[in-house]
Amino acid sequence: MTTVLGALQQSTLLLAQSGGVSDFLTYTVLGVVLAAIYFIAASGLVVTYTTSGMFNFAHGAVGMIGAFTYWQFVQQWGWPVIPSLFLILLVVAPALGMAIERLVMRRLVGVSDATKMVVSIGLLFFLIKIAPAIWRPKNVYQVKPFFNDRAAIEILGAGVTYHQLITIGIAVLVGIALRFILFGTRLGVSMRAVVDNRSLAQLNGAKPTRVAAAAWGLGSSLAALAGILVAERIVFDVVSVTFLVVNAYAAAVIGRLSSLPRTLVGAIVIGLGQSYAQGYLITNPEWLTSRDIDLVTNFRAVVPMVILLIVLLLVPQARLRAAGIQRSRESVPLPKFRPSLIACALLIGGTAVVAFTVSGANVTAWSQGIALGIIMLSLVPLMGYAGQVSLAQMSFAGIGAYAVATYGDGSPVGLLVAVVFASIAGVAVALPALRLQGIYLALATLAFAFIVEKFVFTQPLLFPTTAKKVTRLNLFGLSLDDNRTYMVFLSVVFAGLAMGIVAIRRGVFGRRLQAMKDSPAACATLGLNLTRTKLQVFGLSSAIAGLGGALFAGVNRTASTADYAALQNLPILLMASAGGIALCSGALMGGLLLGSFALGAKWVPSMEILGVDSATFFATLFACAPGLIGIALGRNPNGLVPILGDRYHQIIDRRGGAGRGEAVKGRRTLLPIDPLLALEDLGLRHDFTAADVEAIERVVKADIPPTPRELSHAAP
Amino acid sequence: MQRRLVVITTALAVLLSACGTRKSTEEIVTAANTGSGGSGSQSNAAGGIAGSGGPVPGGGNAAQNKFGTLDIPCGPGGGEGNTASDQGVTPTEIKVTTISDPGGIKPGLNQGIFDSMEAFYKWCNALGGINGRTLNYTLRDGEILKYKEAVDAACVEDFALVGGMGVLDNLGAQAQVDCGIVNVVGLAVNPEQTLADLTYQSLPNIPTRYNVGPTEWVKKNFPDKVGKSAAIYTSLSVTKMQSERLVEAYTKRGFTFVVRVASNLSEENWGPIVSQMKAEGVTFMTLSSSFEEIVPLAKAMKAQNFAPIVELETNFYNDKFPLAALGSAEGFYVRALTWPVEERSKNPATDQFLNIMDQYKPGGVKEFLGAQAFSSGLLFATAVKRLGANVTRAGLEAEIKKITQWDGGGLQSPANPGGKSSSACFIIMKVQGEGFVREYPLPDKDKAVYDNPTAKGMACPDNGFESITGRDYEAMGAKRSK
Repeated sequence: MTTVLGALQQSTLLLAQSGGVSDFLTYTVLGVVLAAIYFIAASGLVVTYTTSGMFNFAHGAVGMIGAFTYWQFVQQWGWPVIPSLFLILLVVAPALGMAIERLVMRRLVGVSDATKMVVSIGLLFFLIKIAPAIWRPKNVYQVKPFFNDRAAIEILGAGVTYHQLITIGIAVLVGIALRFILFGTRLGVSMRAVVDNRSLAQLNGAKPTRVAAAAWGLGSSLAALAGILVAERIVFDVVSVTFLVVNAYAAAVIGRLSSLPRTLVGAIVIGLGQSYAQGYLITNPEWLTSRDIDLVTNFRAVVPMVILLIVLLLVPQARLRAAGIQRSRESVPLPKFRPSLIACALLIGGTAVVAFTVSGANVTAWSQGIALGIIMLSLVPLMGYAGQVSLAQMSFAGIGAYAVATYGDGSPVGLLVAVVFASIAGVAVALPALRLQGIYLALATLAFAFIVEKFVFTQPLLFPTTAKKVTRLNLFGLSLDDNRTYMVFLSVVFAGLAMGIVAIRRGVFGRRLQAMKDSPAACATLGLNLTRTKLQVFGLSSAIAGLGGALFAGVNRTASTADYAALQNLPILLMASAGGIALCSGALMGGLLLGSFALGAKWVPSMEILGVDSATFFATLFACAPGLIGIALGRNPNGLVPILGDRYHQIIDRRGGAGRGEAVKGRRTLLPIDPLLALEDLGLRHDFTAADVEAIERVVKADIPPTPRELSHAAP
Repeated sequence: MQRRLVVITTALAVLLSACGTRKSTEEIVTAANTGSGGSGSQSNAAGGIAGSGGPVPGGGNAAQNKFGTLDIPCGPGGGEGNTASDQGVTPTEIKVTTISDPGGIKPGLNQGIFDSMEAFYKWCNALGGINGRTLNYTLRDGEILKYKEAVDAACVEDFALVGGMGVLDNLGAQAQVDCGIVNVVGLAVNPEQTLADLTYQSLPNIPTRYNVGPTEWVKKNFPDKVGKSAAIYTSLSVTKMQSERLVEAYTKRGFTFVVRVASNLSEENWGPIVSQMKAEGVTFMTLSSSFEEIVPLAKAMKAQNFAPIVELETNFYNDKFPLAALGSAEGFYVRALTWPVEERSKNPATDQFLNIMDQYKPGGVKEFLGAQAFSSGLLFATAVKRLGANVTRAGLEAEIKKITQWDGGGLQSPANPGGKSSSACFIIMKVQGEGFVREYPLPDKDKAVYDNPTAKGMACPDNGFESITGRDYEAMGAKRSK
């Protein structure tokens, strides 16, 4: 007790020295204003998760759409504020949310958690890329705060505007209203019931589809509200306003994605943390003499992400739903040696032919494609085999690029350093993230990616002007200076790595990875060292990513930080999944597709489509493509390569005389997934009563272990 | 429906303008342009592309073959004895590149450069090109980070780089010098580029010198405010360096900086920074960044009831700034080095520039960087014109070196492009409502300054430079290997 008091006394003293209690109170008030916005944003995320079991990565993008729509109505068309707000919050945003649920999320039955994540990341990416087509970047996006002409009120030395007061008021109202909706209305109870046990809730008359639509509508409306309220703080663009809302994800994680009071605490922690950082972390420590390192300014930009990371690592996680044995539509065929060798030989030969026939611009684009393929290859063992989602591969690639730009100078040492640095970073991420899985792991890696982008890569010491010159490898007198030679070299590296990964998959380590993916608990029971396996696969994967990043930088002879920004992780994950996340050929296909999107717009003849010229139209389309493809994965979670493979076999088999249906049946070893229990078919429809609610509550509290069958259908 | 309305309104406006005064024409055309928002096709029709017997390109003065006070270098005729004298030059055309960054991480950035240069090339070609050669131009998007690739591409295809600006132009400075392409740049940003061989600007900004005219003006008018100054900058290498230069120059002229803080790009949390300035009793503030950053800062200052004297550098002279500030930046001072568009009627060159923009790039972004790029375009064309039939890179550089007096016909403050020396002239503009108004020099109140012989309407003080020694900038410039 005395020590606590002593510490308090001391910190008060420190405060008094550093500018006084009044400063502290001022920063507190300013932090509370931020916290209000974060709470609104995070509550929407919590609502969607508790009621549909899905973590919506696209939540920030929905907030962004809300902000832009508000700008359109009020600033552009001059509509009055209140009706515009009602229109957005009660019509536009819920419609968007319901559309997302109806068109995208509802189809996600029988897919793994990883695929669900990929789909919502695809949605995030799609919305970010489509918005600039509607709201052209050349305009200035700025919304008026509410009651802009009234002077601010001074509270504890801090000027608080009416807009900010209203924001705090709205946050309080949102908290109360959500509490009431979720616990006091039939809709809310059935929302929660559906997540806990979809079949049972349905058995008792709840209508899961309707409930899910309501949940997505509500969540989306809250996202839009947060977006509108936060937009006045900056002259905004698509990415900046999206990531202002993304900052609130940390608050939702503190709330364990389910508890509103805890989410409030989380929002306050982040709001205050950001405000104090801004107030107190102004000057670099005195021992830091180099003006090429800035520890404070860049740190202030990542405070929410740092808090997110700390929370993920320290706070015990709520048990993720459906963490049992996964049975899904997804299948991972075991690669065979000989076909793989032949494929690799074909790849190198084909690349050589292409490299020396196509034009210069094509060579660059395809080379980038192969290099991206190598980076995507890093996801094959990590995500495809071991089931660990990572949103930081491009950051590891960036570390590799930095290494080769700094230590390369044409010698293979550069690549070696790239591999070492990246794998050290990979293990460093994996070590604290060992006990994380699913969404939490994805969020932790995303937070890491943000910290690398905004805190590490922004250091002038590392990238003095955000980019560094890269000298290509000069291998024992064999110069790779020629672009075409370099392209062939990339394909050789890809083939070598792919063969290595095939070997791993067929070996003991590969079986261990697969086992860990299928059931970590079972593995641990059998005496498998999960920790070591996880560290190994993270190290391996980030090493490959680092090598890929170094080679990617070599294509343009520049390592530029923008290529390795946090957002760049999304297309990597999306396109690797699109090709087929567990296949080396899938990584190649994903990379080549992503590389070719840059060219796509140039191929089409010039004409007008939908009021814009074709180049702009297709540039937008290709920019959105990874997002669209990601969304489509909900339908075909195995990716493109397996689909193409099936088609190919169908054709071959038909030639051989076999019927089409038989051929498919013969190759698909997976059991088909049963349709969900259709209560309507059983004639068990009756009205939902208070007794049912109680029954559901009882069952939920009783925590009866779910049967394997339920597990396979469990919703999240 | 709405589209048709716009077309009809524009047609009406054009009809009205035919019998109205020149002033009212301007107002109507401007109104039609800002109102139509991107439906460019109709404005195009209204303007009429020259060369088809339409109106004389580029407004009234063009009839006398003048752009402001400058002889227009483009025109019909010439071309006898033209040969393919150098890379990208044929008897009938010259291939040139303009680089800007609108496709990068900050979409739309410096679109005004592309738009004004496109207007420049079309206008020049419509007049007949230069000595019988048309300008075959490519707008290359440096996407901020791919500036070097744009330079590399231009190196092997084009004769010269004209009127561009790359935020990270340092990335391509050495490549440009190594391949020997002359860069008559709209605005060079980083010291590697500003001090590079082969780089010439219509309005040179040399990092070793700082234009302290506005500094002195602030000191003279608010002598009791400069003792507690704050310099904020966005945490990017270019803005950081700019802030260092500013602080060095202002300190040498008697300012004392008590707060120096870096902010992050797209900073949304200005409150605590403002309350620190308040706590330090700051009475003068400046920010080295872009208008997107000052707007939320100004809002936070208003919320915290903090109103120091604010004076900003020339890149804040952008019509989007007061529009976006929504009243929170009232009274902020901004220095202008090009003639203010608000006073186009008082300066034929500015008026012609804006007319050319309307005619050849309807709906294009008009900003002062565009005017500066346009001036560089004129500089390039003037030098090429003097070269006659034999157009070479070496000849171009030699010819530009001879041009030591340049004001783009009155578009910009007078400078010395050939000798790479900055201008000491300036105008102070003040944010008022949704636009800018002239604060200094005023034609009546500051008549003696306003009517100076060097640049009428601008202040051109003696001793208007401060030398900057904080870093060894000279060593940074990209140089030819010896």
